[in-house]
Parts: sequence; structure tokens; C-alpha cells
Amino acid sequence: MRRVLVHTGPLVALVDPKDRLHARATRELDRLKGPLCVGLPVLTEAHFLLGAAHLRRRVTALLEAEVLRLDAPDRPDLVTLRALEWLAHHAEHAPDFTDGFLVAWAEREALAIWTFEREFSTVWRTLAGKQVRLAAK
Amino acid sequence: MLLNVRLSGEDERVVRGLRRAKVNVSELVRRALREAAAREHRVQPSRSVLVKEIIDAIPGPVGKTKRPPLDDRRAVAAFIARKLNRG
Repeated sequence: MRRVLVHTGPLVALVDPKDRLHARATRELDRLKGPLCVGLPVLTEAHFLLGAAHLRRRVTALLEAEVLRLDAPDRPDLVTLRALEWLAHHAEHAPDFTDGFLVAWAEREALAIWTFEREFSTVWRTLAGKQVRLAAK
Repeated sequence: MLLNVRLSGEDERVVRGLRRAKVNVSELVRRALREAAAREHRVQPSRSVLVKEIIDAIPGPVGKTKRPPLDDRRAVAAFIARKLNRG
């Protein structure tokens, strides 16, 4: 089963029922097929947004329960370089490193991204000019 | 039914070692197959149920955590930048 790359928004919303997007996150979660993978850039970003200790502990519990899987690209070096190139290419929109990393990783391994950010469907393209594959639309 | 399985050199060494230890390799394979089949058929709770169980098991204080809208990347970036600058 093909993996899905989880973006920061769904990860944070999942563990906080008080977040406006929690219901959407849990709804979409059950529709997604395949292992849900969290990369280090997403986990790092999420920790900035999850200020409270109990929310961070819930993320750890999700990883331990294998609802989510901590994962990395098969070639982190190439994906990182590609992400940096992608960031330069989209510089006028000031994207985040995490966005570039996910797009580059998804492009390299033909994976889909689970995100709440509209830019992934409306603005971001791979460096090859292709649409980013989204896991939930 | 006879099952033919091609073994790597490493697997072959493992099998030889098990046979030396008088382990019934055929029975081992049968058991592994039965266990794998049982795992496949086990009903797993949905992911959202697991999430709810985890949230219930790790309660938090009353009140909302202050955070930008998670579907607004610029607001999220600004929030993180503020946190970094404060550190």
C-alpha cells in the first residue's frame, strides 16, 4: 500500500479536539489508505504549534500506536537538495521548507500528501511542472 | 499442497541452524502462515477510534491552545517565526 505524507496541519489538528479542523482531520483520517508517514520537518513544525505538553504526548502516542509512522525519504540528501531548489523556484510565494521537502519527497517516491493548505492544489507544482498528488481532496 | 520457497544464502544458513537444533522447520512455516493469516483477518479499530482513545488517555487542561489557523500557511509561518525570535 502506498504511503501518505502527513503535513503539519492534519497532524496538529488530530491531537487537539479544540482545534477548528479536528473534525475534518479525523474524518479524512479514516478515508486515507496506506501508512501515514510523518517526516522530521513536519514533526519539528508541529512541535512549535503544539505548545502544551499533553498535545505533544498525544503525538508520541500516535507514533507508538502506529497510527502514524515516523519516516524519511529513501534519499534524504537528494530530496533536501530538490526541496531547496523548489524553494528557490517558488521564492515569490515565500514557501516554507516543510512544503518544499514534502513536494520533493512526494515527487521522488510518487506519494500523495495529506494537507489542509490550499496552495498544494492551487499554487505549488513539482519542479517538473506537475500537480502535487493529494491524499484527501 | 507443497510450497516451494526460494531462500537467500542468509535464510539458508538460518534453516540449517534450526535443523541442527532439531526444530521442525515445516511446522514453523505452517505456524507462521497461520499467524499471518490471523493478523490479516483481525478487525482493527479505525484510526479515528485510536485517536480518540489516545486523546481520552492523555487529558489536557481546560481552555484552548493559542495557535493560528492550520490551513493558513502564512499565519502558521508567522507564528513559528515569532516563537523562534522569542527563543
